[in-house]
Amino acid sequence: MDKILRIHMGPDADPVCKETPLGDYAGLGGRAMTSTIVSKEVPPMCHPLGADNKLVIAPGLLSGTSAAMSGRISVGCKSPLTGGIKEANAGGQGAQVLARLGYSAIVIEGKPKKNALYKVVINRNGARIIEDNSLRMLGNYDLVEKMKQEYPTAAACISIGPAGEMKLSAATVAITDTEFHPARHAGRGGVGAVMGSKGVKVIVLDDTGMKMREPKDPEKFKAANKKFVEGLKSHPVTGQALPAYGTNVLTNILNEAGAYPTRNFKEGRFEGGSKISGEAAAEREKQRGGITTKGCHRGCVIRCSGTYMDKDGHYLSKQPEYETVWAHGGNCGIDDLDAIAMLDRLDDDFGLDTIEMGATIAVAMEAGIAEFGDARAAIDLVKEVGKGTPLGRILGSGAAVTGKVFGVERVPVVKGQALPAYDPRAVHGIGVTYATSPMGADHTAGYAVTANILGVGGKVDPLSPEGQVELSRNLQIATAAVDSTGMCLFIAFAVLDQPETFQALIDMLNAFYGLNLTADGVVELGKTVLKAERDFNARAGFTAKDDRLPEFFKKEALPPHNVTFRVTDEELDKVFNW
Amino acid sequence: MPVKQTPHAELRLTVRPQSLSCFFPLLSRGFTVHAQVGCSIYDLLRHQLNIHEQLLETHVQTVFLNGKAVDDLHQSIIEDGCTLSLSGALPGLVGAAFRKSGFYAGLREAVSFHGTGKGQGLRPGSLTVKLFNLTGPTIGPFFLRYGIEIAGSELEEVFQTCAEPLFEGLLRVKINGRASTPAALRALDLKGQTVRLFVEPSMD
Ligand code: SF4
Repeated sequence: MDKILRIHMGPDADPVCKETPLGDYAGLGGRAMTSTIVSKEVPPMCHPLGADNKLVIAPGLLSGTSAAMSGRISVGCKSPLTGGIKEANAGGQGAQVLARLGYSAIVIEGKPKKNALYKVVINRNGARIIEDNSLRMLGNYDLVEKMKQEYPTAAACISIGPAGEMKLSAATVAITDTEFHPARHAGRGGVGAVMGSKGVKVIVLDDTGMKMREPKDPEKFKAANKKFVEGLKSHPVTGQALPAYGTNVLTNILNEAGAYPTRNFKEGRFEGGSKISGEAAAEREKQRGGITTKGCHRGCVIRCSGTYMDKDGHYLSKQPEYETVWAHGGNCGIDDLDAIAMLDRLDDDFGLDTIEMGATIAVAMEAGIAEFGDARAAIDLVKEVGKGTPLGRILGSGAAVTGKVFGVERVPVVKGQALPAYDPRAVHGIGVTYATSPMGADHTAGYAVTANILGVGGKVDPLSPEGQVELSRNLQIATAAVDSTGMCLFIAFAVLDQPETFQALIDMLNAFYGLNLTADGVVELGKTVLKAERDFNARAGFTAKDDRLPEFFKKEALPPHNVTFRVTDEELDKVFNW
Repeated sequence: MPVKQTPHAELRLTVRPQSLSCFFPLLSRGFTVHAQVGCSIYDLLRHQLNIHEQLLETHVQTVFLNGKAVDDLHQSIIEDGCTLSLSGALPGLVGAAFRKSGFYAGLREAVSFHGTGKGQGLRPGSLTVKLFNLTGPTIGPFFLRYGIEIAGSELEEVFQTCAEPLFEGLLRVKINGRASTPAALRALDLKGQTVRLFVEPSMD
């Protein structure tokens, strides 16, 4: 990983691929790489779909090595959904293959001078860009099937569906998984629309003949990786709960806590919750011959994923994630797992963010376009997006646009991006992160390493109002750091409880690169990334007023506990005082 | 007007350990337990259900009483008609936030249960219990042995969806106090009835 692939799409010339050395970007990976390039090279006031925006795709620092869990890939740009900086990340095989091919990043810049569609093929001989208009409006599933036939040795595809081609703000970038299904998505912020604006439909990666990346100190690296894996396997979350039920293990709990946003955030408990829970899904997957425990990339030892089969036992989709089940399920009043899995499949095929689409359909239901609970209508609405009808294009532009078009007041977005599956009125601390993350409302922004292990900002009292702000700050710093390693965020649960597992991660980085990184160094990395992101947003016109939740969270009490969001604006403004 | 009583059936089943898993999905949906109420959650689980200290410590990581997150099992009192939900460790920041006495408990202060530790004294009562995720296999067998009350239709669903592993591992059956057969159990029409179910694992 000693070079960057720059693909210049025009309009001054025909598209061309060029390899450049890492230069100032040496030592960066994942989110640190995407956010640094975007903040340095993209004019903050540019149009997100214009020639000046850049799409950056970066594997993690340990991707392509034998390190467990190292297969996350980051996709960054100026977001057409939020208007600010964006990093969306995904699992799948893309990061491992791209890293083995030696690339620390792919940067797609410029804009084609003609209305053509391109594919990029990368193998050990380098990268080629080829015009291929036969791919137009193909769904991700048909697209990767076609690529596999054309390039039988391809190991992964990075692609957009029709939503990306239509430049819709809810469009994703899809990454193929271990079965070559385009089922893992860099979902948030409309990164697929930016890829569509560049005219790139698919990047085909073939690492035939390439070796695993070698560490500087193989013995130390091996020992640290072993310790890291042991830590993950022995922890109850990463060793038991996630493998058994996937992320959807959360449905029953959030529902029980009255923190499960239901029917467009009107209530905190959904009567159909148990029917769509992780426990119910695992039972059904077993009955239909699906797999309940599977990694999204090789080298994953937690294996929170699975396969969801239809009634006839045929593959329908990956095991839907908690956020997807919530967005298309409880948030729309739908308690039918088959319908939710179908919506997941359609989203993946059209290349749409499941969180944004579920939130958008709930807003549309609030507007009376369909009834809450009507699964058939929800499926038809997503199909409208795939077809690109006028209604579909409105929906595919996300919850904020849909709310405006249909005059809905209760629109759960921050910086234009839909809130994920936890109601901030019940879990205030998460509301602080939703409000202040530079990414817009983002559940992964505070998913990571604990403050007390990293010691960021000293010890805080988590029960005081200031404690919520301190915790959110520390978590955002730590998350930015973990995102930069390219490790799956789910390692955080083991790292959270087991300092020796966190140390093993640092030891792996040190042994691989010959560094002397400490926990403090990790904290500094996280701070640097966040500072660069906030700086970009400030230059793009964002102010403290954008770090707010929609006002209904303060005004409307959430049943059953009848709570409102009580963290003040003054406290929110303190999050980034460090 | 006379109060309409739901008919009751009592079933006592002895099964091979591997058949116990058929009942776990049922446990996450909620069931009724008759017990001495007015005690702490800890006393109920440790002394009435006989769940080992070690199991409680390691497997019961997240607890809700009437939908509010509990931090101290000793201070939170079980009252007649309450709902108690148990769960293992959960992923995500939100999972960490709901964990009992976790570092992130402050994040969900708005829905935390603040117990006083003082009840009105022990007396017979009942509560609804939900066992989510891995507490089904770990804690569930203690409740099944103690006895749970569920709707007959729910049990019929178990007989249908898990017929093979359940009936293959079914060693003894008692229906309303009398020894019976698996065939008779299968033929029961439980719709509209409430069932008191006792399930005992055996290596026989
Ligand atoms: S834990 Fe889940 S999301 Fe993370 S790498 Fe494994 S399968 Fe993918």
